Amino acid sequence: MTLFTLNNDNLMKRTGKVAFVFAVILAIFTVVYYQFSHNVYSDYMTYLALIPFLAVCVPAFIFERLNLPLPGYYSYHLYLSGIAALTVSSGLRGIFDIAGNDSVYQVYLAAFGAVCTISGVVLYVIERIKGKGKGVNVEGIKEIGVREDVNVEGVKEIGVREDVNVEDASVKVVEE
Amino acid sequence: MKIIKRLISWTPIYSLLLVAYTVFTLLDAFVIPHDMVKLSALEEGGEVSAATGETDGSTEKGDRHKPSGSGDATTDGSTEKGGGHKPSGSGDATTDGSSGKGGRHKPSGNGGGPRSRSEDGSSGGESTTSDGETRRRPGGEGSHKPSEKPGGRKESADGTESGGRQKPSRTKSSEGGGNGASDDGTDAQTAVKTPETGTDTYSSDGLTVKLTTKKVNDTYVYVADVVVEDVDSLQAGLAEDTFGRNVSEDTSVIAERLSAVLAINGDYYGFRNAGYVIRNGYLYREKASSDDQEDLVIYKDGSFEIINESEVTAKELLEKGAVQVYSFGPGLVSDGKAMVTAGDEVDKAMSSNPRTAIGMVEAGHYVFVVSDGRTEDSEGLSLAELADVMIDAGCKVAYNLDGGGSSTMYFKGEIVNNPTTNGNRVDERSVSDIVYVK
Repeated sequence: MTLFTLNNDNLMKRTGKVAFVFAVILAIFTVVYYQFSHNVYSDYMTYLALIPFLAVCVPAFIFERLNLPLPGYYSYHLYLSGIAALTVSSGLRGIFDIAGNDSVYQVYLAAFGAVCTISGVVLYVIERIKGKGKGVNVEGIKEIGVREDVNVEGVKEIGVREDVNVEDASVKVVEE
Repeated sequence: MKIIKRLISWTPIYSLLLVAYTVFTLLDAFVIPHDMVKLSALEEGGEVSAATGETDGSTEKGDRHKPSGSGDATTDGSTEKGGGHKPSGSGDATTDGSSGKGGRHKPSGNGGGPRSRSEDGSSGGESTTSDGETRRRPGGEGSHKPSEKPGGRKESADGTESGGRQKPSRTKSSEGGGNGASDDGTDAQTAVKTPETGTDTYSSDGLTVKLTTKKVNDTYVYVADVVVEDVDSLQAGLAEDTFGRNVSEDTSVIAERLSAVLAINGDYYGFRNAGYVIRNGYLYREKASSDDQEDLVIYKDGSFEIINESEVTAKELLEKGAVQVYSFGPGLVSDGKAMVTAGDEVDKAMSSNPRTAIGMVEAGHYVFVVSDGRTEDSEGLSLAELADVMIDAGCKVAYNLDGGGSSTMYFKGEIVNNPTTNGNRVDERSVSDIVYVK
C-alpha cells in the first residue's frame, strides 16, 4: 500500500492566510453591495466574511499554534469544500433577501456545504481515533509516497514525523 | 504536463463547479422563466394546477372563473355576466383616440387625445382638468411614454433594486410630438421631471377616475380615485398574458394591451416562489409565504380584506369568492385605521421609497396611489406616511404593493409618475402584473 501525504510544511499557515484574504475580499464585497442596496440589509450578507474567517482562519491558527495533528487529504478538502459552499450559499441568500427573491438551488448548496463540512470534521475525528493520537498510522504500509505536485527536486531524504510508527516499514521516494 | 496535472487537482475543479452553480442559481432566480401558464390555454377550458401553475387542458371546473371571452364567468358553478379577464392576445383591445375636454398633451399615433374603450361600445371618455384649460398632464412635457429601452432591474419585494433582465420585445405605441418625447423615446424621457400638482379626470359609462397630483412630505403623490359601477371592472393583468416566474413586462405595455384607463403595478409575484396568487378568479399559486405574510383579497362583490396566509389557504379564499389575491404587503389600513407605525418596514427596507398602494373606500369605490421617490423633488414615503395618504383618501382598507423602481401609474395612455431605480434616471421597470380598470 502506498500512502500519499500532503506537503504539510506550513499547511495550516498557508490555509489560514488564503482564507483571510478571501474574508477580506468578501467584506469589501459586502460593503460595496450595501452601497447599492438602498439601505436594505441581510444578516447573511452582513456576516458573510465571518464564515471563512471563523471556520478556516481561526482553526488554522489553532492548529498552527498548538501543533495539532494535521488532517488527512480527504478530511482537509472535504471540510474546506463545505466551507466554500456554505460561504457562497450565504452570499446568495443575502442577495436574495435584499432583492426579495429566492431560489431552491441556494438551499441545495447550503445543504451540500453542511454535509461536506460535517463529513470533513467526522473524518478528521476518525483519522485521529485510528491513529490513536500518534499521527499517521503506517502499520502494514510498505512504502511512503510523495504527491505528484510536490516538488522533490534536490531533496535527499524524506523524514517521517516523530510520532509516526514506522517500525518495519520501508521508506522510499516515489518519483513523478 | 505539470500544469495540466496541477489543474486537474481538486481545488480548481471544485472552484469552477462552484462558480458555475452560482451563476446558474442567479439565472434561475432572476432570469429564467418557469412555471409558465398561458392565459390562452385557460381560455380553452384548462384548469390551473395550483401547485405548479400548469394547465392540464381539462374541462373547466366550477370553482374557477372562466375567461370572459365566452361571455360568461363562472365561479362555484354559478353564472355571472361580464367581467373576467379577457385574453388580450387576440388583439381585440382597440382604441379610437377619442377627444377629451381641456385637451392634454398626449403622444398618440392618431393625433392625440385620450384613448377610449371601443370594445364594449362605450363612448369615449371625457377628461377635464381642474381649471378647465388646456394643460399638460402630471409629468408635464416629459410625460413618460412606454419606453422601448431594455428593462431595468426589477423591483425587489422590499423596494430595492436587484438583478437585471432582458426586456421582452414589444411594440410601442406611436407617439405624437411636442411633449418632450423624442422620436426614439430615449434621452428626453429619462430625465426626472417635476410634476405639476392638480387634478385630472376621466369619466365614461360605468367608470369615473379622478387623478390628483399633490405633494406630501416632500414627495409627489398621485392619488387616483376610482368609482366603478361594475366591480368586475377592477381587474388584474399579467405580463405577456402569462403567469410564471421571471415573466415580466412594463406596466404601460400591459396596460396598453389591455386597454386600461388606469393601471398600477401589482405585487410582482413573479419574483418569488411563494405567496398566494389569484388573478381574475384563477388560482395560480397556493404555496404560502412566511408565517406573517399579509395578503390583500378582493372578493367578487368588490370588497377588500387583508388576511394572513397562515390563517387561511388559497383554496379557501377561492371558495369564499376571492377573485384577486395580492401577496406583498404589509396591510396599511384596516377598518379605516392605520396598521403600520413609523417604525414598520418592509423586509428591512429603507423608510422613504417610491410606493404603490391600493385601497377601498367601499365596494365599487377604490383608490390607487403611487408616489415618487429617490429624486431631488421627491424623497419618497414611509409606510406610515403612505397609510396616512390612504386614510386621507377615505380608504377603509388599504394595502401596500410592490414599490421602489416598480412603482408606476398609467393613466389614459401615459405614465404619470417618475418611475426610477436610483433617482438619476426615469426608466419604467418590467413587472409581472398590474391592477387596472377600464
